Amino acid sequence: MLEDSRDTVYARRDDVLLRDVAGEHLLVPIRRNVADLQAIFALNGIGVYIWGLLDGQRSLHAVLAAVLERYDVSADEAAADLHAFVERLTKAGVIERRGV
Amino acid sequence: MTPPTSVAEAGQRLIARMAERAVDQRIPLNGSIAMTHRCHLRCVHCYLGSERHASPESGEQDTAFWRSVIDQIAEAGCLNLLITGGEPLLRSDFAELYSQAAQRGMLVTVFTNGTLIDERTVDLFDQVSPELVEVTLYGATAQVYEQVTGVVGSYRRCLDNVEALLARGIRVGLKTMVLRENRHEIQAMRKMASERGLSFRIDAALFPCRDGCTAPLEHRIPADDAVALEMEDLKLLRDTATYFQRRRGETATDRLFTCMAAVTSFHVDPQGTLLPCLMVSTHRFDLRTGSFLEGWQGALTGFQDQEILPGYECHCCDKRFLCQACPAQAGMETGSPHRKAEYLCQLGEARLRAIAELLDK
Repeated sequence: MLEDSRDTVYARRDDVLLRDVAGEHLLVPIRRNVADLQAIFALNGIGVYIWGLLDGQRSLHAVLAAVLERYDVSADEAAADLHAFVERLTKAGVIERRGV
Repeated sequence: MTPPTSVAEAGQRLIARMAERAVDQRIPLNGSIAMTHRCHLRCVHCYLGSERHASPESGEQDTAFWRSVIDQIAEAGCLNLLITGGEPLLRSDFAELYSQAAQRGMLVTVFTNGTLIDERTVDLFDQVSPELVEVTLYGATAQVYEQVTGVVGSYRRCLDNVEALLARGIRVGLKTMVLRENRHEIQAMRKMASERGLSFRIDAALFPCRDGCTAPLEHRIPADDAVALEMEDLKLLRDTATYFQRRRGETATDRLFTCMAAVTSFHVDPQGTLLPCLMVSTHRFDLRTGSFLEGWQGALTGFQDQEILPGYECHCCDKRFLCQACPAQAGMETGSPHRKAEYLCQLGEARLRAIAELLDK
């Protein structure tokens, strides 16, 4: 588990593209080995929303607040899921931890 | 909230869901583009005939055209893009167009003879990884390889370049066409692939040239022999048997084409013509005169509505799942898509026998 504080900031890598293909939201890395399907991620609606918020400016706390405002989900559950989300995408190298 | 799932984890379910949606909504998920039909090799069996040696000025579209087409293809929902030819690396703008396709988030496969891959190409593939570089091997020795390609030194260049790609971790696959000239080296070629940990596939279905010349057919080997070589790959034999058992007995349709051409897949030729597939030109749209979507939703729409003519014998034959035959291929061979292509039918027969033998064991 990554040690995140509420002020930690994440940023989408600019060599990863979010594409809508045949009804699925796919994150396609354009410089790494795209042949490796492990490197291509499918996001659901909330995932796409979060992806849009990981702009290298907003803190995780701000991202969480935005998610809670938009979706009907408990704060604890959303926080745990958000951490799992960023941890997974960080390990896959499609987002970067920027601050704090 | 659900954590992001890699496509590999979601696996067949996700891929099947995408494929199903693509069929329902007629999304061009899979495409191929041939930016050139030129080739510097002189392969005895090539279906491109004299087109291979035409000048680039003979109707090939320029870089700006292809950049625009690639953008439009991605926009339309294409995920899997094949760049084929001719030999695509003969285009001086290959790197630019390849990079653009990959940067638009398409998974790009490149078909090449491998002989023109230089250091810059290796660097390019290293930086912007292709889904696969599939190299055609024409023989396991220089003598046979060059007997097929007609170009001295091509064997060494091909193998050296494959090694250069592998040294940089680029995903490579090998394939060959089974010919009279190389049939005795198929096993050796398969071994070359397996020693390098590469996929290998063989294809026995040679076709006449697009201009009608039948010279390539003289290089075929008997269908039984071709299938025996093919089925030395036991995984392929088992997979073919499973596929056949799953599909046999399916109700026959009155539609001539039952493939995904113009449903989820398309081809664009060097002149910029959008086609249902590489082998069909009955339904076509000139992309110089309008957008990809105009062509996809216009000229190509009726392609799958074609019905069989009375007397057509392949649509209800169980072997249709084994003969690789498509009406377009049959049309190239017999002059009519409604007529059975004898050699393809023999391939189907031979595969059926191979499956029966497997199931008996």
